[in-house]
Amino acid sequence: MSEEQIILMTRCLSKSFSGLKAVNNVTSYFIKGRIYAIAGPNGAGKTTFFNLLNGFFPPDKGEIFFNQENVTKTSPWDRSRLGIGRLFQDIRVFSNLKAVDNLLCFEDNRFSRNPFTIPFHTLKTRRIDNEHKEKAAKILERFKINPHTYAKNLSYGQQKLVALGRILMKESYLLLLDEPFAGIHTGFRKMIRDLLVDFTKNGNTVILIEHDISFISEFVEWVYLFVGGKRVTFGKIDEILRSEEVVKGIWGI
Amino acid sequence: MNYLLSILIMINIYLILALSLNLFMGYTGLISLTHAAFFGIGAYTTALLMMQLKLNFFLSMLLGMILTFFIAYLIGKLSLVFKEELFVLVTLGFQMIVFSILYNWTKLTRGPYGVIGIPKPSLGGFEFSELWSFFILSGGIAAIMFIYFKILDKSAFCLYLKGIRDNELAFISSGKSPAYYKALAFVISGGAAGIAGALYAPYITYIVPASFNLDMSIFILCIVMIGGAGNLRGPLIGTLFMVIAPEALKFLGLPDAAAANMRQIIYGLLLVLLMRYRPQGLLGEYKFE
Repeated sequence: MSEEQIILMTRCLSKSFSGLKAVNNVTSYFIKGRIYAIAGPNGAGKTTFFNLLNGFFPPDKGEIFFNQENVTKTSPWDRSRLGIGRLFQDIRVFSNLKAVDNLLCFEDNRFSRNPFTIPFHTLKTRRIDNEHKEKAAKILERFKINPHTYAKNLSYGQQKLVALGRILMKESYLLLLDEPFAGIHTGFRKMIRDLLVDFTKNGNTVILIEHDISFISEFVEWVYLFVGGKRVTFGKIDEILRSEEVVKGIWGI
Repeated sequence: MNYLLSILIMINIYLILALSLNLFMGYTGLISLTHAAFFGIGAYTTALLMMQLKLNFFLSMLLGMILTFFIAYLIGKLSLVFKEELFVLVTLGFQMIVFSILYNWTKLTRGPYGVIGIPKPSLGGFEFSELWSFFILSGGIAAIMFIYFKILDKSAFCLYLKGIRDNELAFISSGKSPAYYKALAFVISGGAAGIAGALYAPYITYIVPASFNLDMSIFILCIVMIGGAGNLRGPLIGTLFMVIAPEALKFLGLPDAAAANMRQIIYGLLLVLLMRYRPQGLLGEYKFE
């Protein structure tokens, strides 16, 4: 496999919180166009691993490469701009904004973002605004969400869709999704699944944290298993499901 | 008539102050107590440039605004590292620093004696010395500022600020730096307060540091809190209320000594009641928590 096929790579990544090794020496790589799952019991360091990839805090040790570029010291917003999208476990919609404004907030409007020059760019701004609004309306239509509903008044599942829709507004090559399927009904699950499958068709990559392995085994091929901050196994999802000791060790069933 | 005009001019000046503080406070959800300092820097710079260098009012105002931008940038850069309550305390600190510079740099500002005899603005031989002409000048500038803030209100810039207010971590994952937009809002907000100061100095013709102390910061904060933040209606109604209410109280026939105290008590009570029953203010959009 050539280097260009790797979208993301971590080398010996470690992070401790007051002595507790939340992520311990994790080396991993992710190939373009695939969907990966990160599985493991609660407290295995899966979310911390994501936060390191996003740059929400610096690792104690190790390096992160995104598209062959060392991003270990890059700020979290610059990493997002490079094309890493994130869905939070606690969703984090902009609750006092309308659904459509939630999406528009993720666009980078190069005229309308600068308060010094806005008055001189009203025409250009209007054109770009309309383009963005159309794009947002299309995404929300796919999700069957009323664009003018305030995010706080949407259901849990709809909020998740809005949060996903936000990521789709900006250019993303890699999505880090923290439990995208948890707590939502089958219809929405299928909607999100189809979305992710579509997303990877153009060579984009998805990494998701999920507990319901049997549901994701339909469309996710590869799994990283985390236990106690360590990456214990990496392999094909059906092999891992078949390996009795892994299943026992992880889920105790 | 003159009495009415003088109230209208004060409404124009306070409207600019309220709108500018609202840009920062209402959209980012952070409370700043440095606003009177920026008001003062604008007023002093304009007054001193007009008197010492004999510059035209409009040029002085522009330079005053630019200086306020610059100082707001420095203060914003240093204080926006802190969050919420700590940020309020740090802005309080800067308010006191600016006040004590105005008070103690006697060579430049004449300290507590203030700057006296500030000339009226003039443009191409026309002097805005009559109240009605100054009303047109201040009203025109206030209207321009109102339109500017209206454009901002609809812009992506303000949408980003609202996003940061609601959820900073989520905003980061959009690929934009919250610190950058907060600092930008702080700078614009400060510069606009500088414009209000530039109007205030030649109107009053006499400025002292005490006009730009913490009390003034709190007064502007009250306008935004009582009127409401996060849109333009809030600061507008807040300004009308806070400027007109004390004038209306004069007609109650209270003795002069009691009137001033009554005003403070009424403001205080009103603020307490509003925060309890209507935390978003009269017409505001955002609830401070």
